Amino acid sequence: MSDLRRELLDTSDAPPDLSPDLRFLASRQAALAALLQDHADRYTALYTAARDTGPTLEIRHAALQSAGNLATLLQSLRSREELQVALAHAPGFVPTPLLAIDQLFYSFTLLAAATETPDDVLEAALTPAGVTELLQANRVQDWLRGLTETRPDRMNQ
Amino acid sequence: MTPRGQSQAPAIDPEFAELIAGLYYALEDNLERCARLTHQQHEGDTGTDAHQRRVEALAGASRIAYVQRVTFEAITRLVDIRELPPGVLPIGVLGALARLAYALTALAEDGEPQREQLLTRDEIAHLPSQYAIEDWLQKRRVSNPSHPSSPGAP
Repeated sequence: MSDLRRELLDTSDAPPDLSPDLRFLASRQAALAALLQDHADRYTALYTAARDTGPTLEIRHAALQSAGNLATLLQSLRSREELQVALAHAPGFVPTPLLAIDQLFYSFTLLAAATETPDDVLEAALTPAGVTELLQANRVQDWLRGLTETRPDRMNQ
Repeated sequence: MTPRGQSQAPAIDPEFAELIAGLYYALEDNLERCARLTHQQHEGDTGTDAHQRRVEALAGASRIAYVQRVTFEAITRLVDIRELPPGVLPIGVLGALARLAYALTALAEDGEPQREQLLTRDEIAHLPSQYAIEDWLQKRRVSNPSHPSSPGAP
């Protein structure tokens, strides 16, 4: 496992007084929020390079690695979706915008599989403007704001 | 497809129906693919077998990514989902396909796949019931009895 993925799955920085379920959720959501902002920039750079020079092996390899980073956290969060359902009506809790974040994961995946052919699947991937729009969507902004304002540890108080 | 803001017939737009069908076919294909490649990797494939597994896994993940991206753009820009008949949107299919795509990207990467990113064979087999896909399919058959996949259809 890469150091980054080990770090993404580490729950030791979650508040120790939380239940195991809330520690899991707090830790995964914080890691995903940090990864989202970093990987949005990384995607824009890779996409632009692929449009300029074609999808080289290096670009495709980096894209697959980034897709894997996001997938590590997304698989983990989706495997415990019942936690977010249970918290749906907790005051201030904003569910993870999985469907929106998935779009970045899918776009990395398309970039990883891109070829030089004109009808390339890359046409379906997010553009840099699309990434900006995605990050600025209300659902994503509300979630990011909610993570800093209302942590899951305050849900059971 | 009818752009958002214009009047839309109560029936499902044929192009949107095609998209939904595409999602379902991607699910069927990749349930089998993910189970087979997971088993192959678990058995310790090496060399050419491992290379072919990575290539096929990326092809599966890429197909899911394509249909999901096209569907997302349709439901956010082209179709007013509030005007769709209840139960048409395959929310469960989107979730199950996402789980498969995460696992397939793990199977596509070099080196040992990450356990947390993979699905077990039991988890793969359980996805259709976990995401209530049989139930959704059954309702679609009832609302579209002339479809060839519906019981009693000609």
